[in-house]
Amino acid sequence: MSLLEIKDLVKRFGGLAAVNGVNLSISDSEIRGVIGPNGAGKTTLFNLISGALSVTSGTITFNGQVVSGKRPSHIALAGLVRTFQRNAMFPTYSVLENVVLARHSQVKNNVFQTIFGRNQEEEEHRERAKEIIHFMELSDHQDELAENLSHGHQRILGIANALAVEPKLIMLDEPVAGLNPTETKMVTDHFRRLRDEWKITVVLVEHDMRTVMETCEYISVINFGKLLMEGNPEEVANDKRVIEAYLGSDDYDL
Amino acid sequence: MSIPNWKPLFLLAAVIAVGCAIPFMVRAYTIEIFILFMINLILVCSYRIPATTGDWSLSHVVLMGVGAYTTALLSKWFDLTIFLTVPLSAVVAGIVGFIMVTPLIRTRGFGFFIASFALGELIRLIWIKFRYPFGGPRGMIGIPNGELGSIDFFEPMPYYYFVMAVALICLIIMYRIDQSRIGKTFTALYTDEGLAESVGIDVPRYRALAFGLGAFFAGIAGALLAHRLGAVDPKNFDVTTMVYLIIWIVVGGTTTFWGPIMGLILMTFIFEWSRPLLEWRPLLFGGTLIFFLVFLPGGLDDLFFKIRNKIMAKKSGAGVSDVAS
Repeated sequence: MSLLEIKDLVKRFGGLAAVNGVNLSISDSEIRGVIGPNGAGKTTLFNLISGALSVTSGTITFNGQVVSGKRPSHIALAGLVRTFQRNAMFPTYSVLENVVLARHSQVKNNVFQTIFGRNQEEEEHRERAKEIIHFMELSDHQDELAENLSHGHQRILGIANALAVEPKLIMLDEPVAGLNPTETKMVTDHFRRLRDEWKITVVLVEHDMRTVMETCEYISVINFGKLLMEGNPEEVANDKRVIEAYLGSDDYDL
Repeated sequence: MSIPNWKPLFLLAAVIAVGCAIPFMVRAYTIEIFILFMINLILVCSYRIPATTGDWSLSHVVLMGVGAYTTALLSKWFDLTIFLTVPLSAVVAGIVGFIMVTPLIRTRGFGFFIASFALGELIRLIWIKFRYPFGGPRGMIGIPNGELGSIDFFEPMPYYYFVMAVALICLIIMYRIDQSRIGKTFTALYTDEGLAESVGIDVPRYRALAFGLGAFFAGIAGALLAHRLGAVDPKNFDVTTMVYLIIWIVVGGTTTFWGPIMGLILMTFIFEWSRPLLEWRPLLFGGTLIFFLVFLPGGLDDLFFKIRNKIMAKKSGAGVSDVAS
């Protein structure tokens, strides 16, 4: 059974259908790339899945649970967590505090216990946060303020914050946008490890073809709000329709 | 972490010692000022709780009024003791706060500010409109001052100690909230709402919680005020009082727990010293507000940070030059 199932998804902005009947099925422990030229509807699709936008019609099922129409926080609690294109973090907190804060969803204490109790639970969360930071190779920067980190490290912290929610599926929104090649490599190296070592399904929504080709095993191409084709990187790279979508209909070489 | 930190406990003991000594050193009139100061202390700290989530409301003193009116009704009609009216008023104010915030949660920023004013005025108009049971435009009088056994809280000294105890408990709880996961969540959702949602923080729920907690403690302040004045007047909870509250918090800043407290201390001094120039007072306060908004938008809180950073920079700079020489 597939982990994330999208059926006939439509999103209209006035007369414009940014996403127009997309069907997508992503199974457990997959690394899936979603690509498409500018304006294809990738970001809209992304925002629909994460709950930032409401769907016009169609359903999104995650882990056997219909999540379309729910708040982003509820979707995150279900185990579907997104990251951001920008460097999203809590800038005035240290790296460790960032991840501890992001573990919010895992906290079982209620309001009164938090205010009046002695928090042993907090220690456990701190330990787990350290594990996550270690996994993302940020241990050296653990006590630095997030705002003082380098660009690439801030992106990695963004992923660490997402991991703090203990997701089943992590959805990355153009994770290497605006990074230089060294930083890009630093970030993309982690994607496979997420799946191989922690069994987390990774969905990569990306504009940059090269990153996707190198990291993903299976790729869905979107154009004009519709699914254009699906296949492994090789098939996608050699598909005439994909080349057309990216470069226009004249005969260019990729 | 497991080693107890003695410094704050020591500081707390010092504050309690000074607080206990004050009534013996000053005139009765000054004790009244201190009582009012401590009530305002609860109020200003409670206002900071929703402010940390970015929700600046214009109805906070109305919620204080809800506490005051509840106290008036409970003690006049049901003859409840002050030890029951204060917590019950807080609960009622908290519940009213939760009801108020339910529609408000859909607004943000300036919209929240104005909508909260409208809702606050609605409550105030209910007090003015309904002579029964709220006493209409003239409010209610004859609220007992409360007593503990044979000690009458009409005397300033016993009431001073009562208010001090309540204020201490409230401040310690609010400080714990601020330092806890919940307090950090409030600031976090203000810094980046989208990120907060993405890691599973239900932003509207937490904003409502912050507003409700603020209302709860404002209710306590209102109850203490009603028992002291022996009367409640809807004019006490109008927008003029609200402006004073905003001045305290703008002067103090909201970054840390101590900001609003510093602001209140400074403005109380200015308020008391400026008694001789009565008609100039609004001008003085307006001027102070503008000065802080223009030159110190972060408040006194921010000023302390800046000074500390300067000193740190100088120290490390001196260290470098030492090595060089």
